[in-house]
Amino acid sequence: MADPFYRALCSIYPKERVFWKEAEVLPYESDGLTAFRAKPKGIVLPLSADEVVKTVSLCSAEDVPFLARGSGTSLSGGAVPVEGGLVIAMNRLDRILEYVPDERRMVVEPGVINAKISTHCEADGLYYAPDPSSGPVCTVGGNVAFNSGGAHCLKYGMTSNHVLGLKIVLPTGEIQELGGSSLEHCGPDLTGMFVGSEGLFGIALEITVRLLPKPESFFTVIAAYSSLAEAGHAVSLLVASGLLPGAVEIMDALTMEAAHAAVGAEYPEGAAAVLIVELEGLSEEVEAEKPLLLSLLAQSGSFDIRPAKNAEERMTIWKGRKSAFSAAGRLSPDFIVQDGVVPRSRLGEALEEITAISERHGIRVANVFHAGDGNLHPLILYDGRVEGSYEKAEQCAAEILRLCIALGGSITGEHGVGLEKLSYLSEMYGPEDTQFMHRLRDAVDPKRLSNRGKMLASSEAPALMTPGLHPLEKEGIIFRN
Amino acid sequence: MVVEVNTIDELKKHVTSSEVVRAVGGGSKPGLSHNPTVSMRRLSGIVEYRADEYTVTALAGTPIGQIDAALAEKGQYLPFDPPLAKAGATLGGTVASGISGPGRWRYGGIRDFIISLKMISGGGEMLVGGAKVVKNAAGFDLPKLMVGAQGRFGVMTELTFKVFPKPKAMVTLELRCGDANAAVDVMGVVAMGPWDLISLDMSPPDSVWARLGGMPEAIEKKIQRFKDALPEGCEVQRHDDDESIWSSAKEFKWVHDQRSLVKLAITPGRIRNLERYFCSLSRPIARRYGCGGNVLYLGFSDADDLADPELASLPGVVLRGEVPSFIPDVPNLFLERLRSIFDPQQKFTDKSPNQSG
Repeated sequence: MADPFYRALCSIYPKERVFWKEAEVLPYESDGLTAFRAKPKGIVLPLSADEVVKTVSLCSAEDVPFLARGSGTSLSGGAVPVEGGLVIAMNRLDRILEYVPDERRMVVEPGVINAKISTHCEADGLYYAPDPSSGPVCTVGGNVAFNSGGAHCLKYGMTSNHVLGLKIVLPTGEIQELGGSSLEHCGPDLTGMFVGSEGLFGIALEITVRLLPKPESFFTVIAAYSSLAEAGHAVSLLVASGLLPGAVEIMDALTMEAAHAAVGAEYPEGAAAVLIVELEGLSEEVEAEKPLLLSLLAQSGSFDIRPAKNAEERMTIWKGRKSAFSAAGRLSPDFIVQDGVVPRSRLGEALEEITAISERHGIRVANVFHAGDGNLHPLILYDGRVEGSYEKAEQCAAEILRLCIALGGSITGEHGVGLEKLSYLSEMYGPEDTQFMHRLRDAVDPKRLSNRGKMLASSEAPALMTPGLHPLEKEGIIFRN
Repeated sequence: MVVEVNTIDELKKHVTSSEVVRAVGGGSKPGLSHNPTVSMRRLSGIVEYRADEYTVTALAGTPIGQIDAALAEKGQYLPFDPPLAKAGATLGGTVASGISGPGRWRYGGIRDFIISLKMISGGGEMLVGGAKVVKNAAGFDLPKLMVGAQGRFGVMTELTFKVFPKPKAMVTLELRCGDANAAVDVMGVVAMGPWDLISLDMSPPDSVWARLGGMPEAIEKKIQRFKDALPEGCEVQRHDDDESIWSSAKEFKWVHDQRSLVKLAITPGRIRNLERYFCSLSRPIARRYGCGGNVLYLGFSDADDLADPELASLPGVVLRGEVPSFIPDVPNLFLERLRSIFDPQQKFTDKSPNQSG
């Protein structure tokens, strides 16, 4: 092959770890947001941080844009390649480099699967708190880039709250350490600045995470309501009571229907919405909180309150909830998952408005959300085979995001801006702040090579649209959050 | 001369018209506010407190004590337990210094609770970062970057924090372990357990301090189980003056006012060596290990006493007194590149001698 860039890559990698042929490159064209697609120049599969650094330096010297990719589960198009750029597939950097149980700390490579961290430290009674629904397949490197969340963020925060230190390669090829091994740091929180920067500030090579002791006991309950508004009101009651549940989730009737069809989850008959609340902690504490929670739920007008009787029933509740997104595939050939945030006290207002938007466009919207932190995930259902249907769904999604901004919330709680919400960042922050972010990025990556076109709009965004479920989602391997 | 500003506009004018800009709040951490040019004290007050949202927004010059009092009325608190409230610490100064109090152990530090801010960059730009909701992943996380930045990126004007309901009952147990090594062991065992401790500190020679909290109905049972699970040889003393114990810890009452005060980020595994070193010194060094052994506060009268190479490798920050040579100033490319945008004219860099900026 004559391409000098390919030849240069082959001086870093053996040929079998450089994919250049069309069929080899194809699987990397898209990610969890299947509506976008772009064709990369090639793929490399590094086995070491050193190979990643050499690759970034080469890209920097040759002006080739690049993207570090984990499992490609991004729901905002964060792992869609740059057209004609290089994909650095990080999956084989999957070693646990250091595990210090008595200091509750682990150092991992970015290709380590999220759930593997908790599995690795389980025997010591520890776990890693961030639990995106894609946890069994997504990588920690991707979680760091997009500051992934999950169902337990109100109490325990997002990925950035669990990353203590990083070793990164800057887009210009230099290695830099940020933070350290301690829970405390001195000097600016550069680790916090890097997490969630969507790949624009470079690639994480080593990630130091903090681990927490596993809660000893759980109490998980499903409460049924005859309207979404009532379920929303129950959340306000819970918050006002002084309880701090580990998770508070709401699913509407359409989502329940989907979860039932997909994983057989059972919900109270006639419920327009269910609230899932989970208390966790020392068994004495949970026992003391139980009566308070149950009386609050009764007060809030729930017509059916079903506590999980054992660990198995608890897992069934969570399986239903975590499968909700991919289960939407049972209701509709295609759908868009939105990820807006509204102030919790305005949940009811937001839901009413979403219903109105849905009716106005004649498009069904299923609602499932992390109610404890106001993080909405409307699932906008459409049929890509019908002309104009995708555009209508997009319009609907846009109105929902603008609603979140207008209510004083955010355009993304955990999926990131990626490609999907590029045009909304400046609506949320205003043109001056967005411009300032561009300048920060340019100071760190003057050639705009690292994950170009994500978070901050540039002229070259990929366009080709392929609606539908991700193949892994169809197989039931990936679950969206 | 220190300029007193009354409005954010006046502050902006000060930033754009001055060559050097250093903001001071309550002055409770003089090691970080030497040679100030502008006082933030009049930019004070709670802008919005939404107990139902778990958020509070206040101007940067607001005293911590004022926030604490407002939150307490609704049974809430800042879980990172900001130190030096009684000494007049302000919200902005606490963010800039990046220090958290003993409550940091349970839910995280100041970095984990700051969610939004407004600030003025060196170029006079009025910037907004984050959002006033408890979950947000949009854009670069400017609020976190300001934590511990000592004003090097700009002057903060308004800050928003996530707050939590305060545990209704709290009890403090002092575990006397016999010696420092045993105390380190006990702290390690306790830290791995499911106790959901609010605070976990160690004070030499051999005391581990554990603060339990939660529902009043459960607290006695929890204390009993906790005690039963402790390793043998631990002498447990229950302290009923829970609030005053921790208040004294976070006000640094255990360090004489005249002494220098330094924060060092450590890991629990270092404590044994450090204790061996401190115990070998002829002059006593006041010290306390916080956050399960992840932070060390040192009070000393002469930095020359501290010549341990292990100390020299630790990141630190001077809250009061002289800058000891053992605190390294490590160059960082990422930081410098960000700073070139926030502060192109280096207005926020301290150019006085003996300060690393």
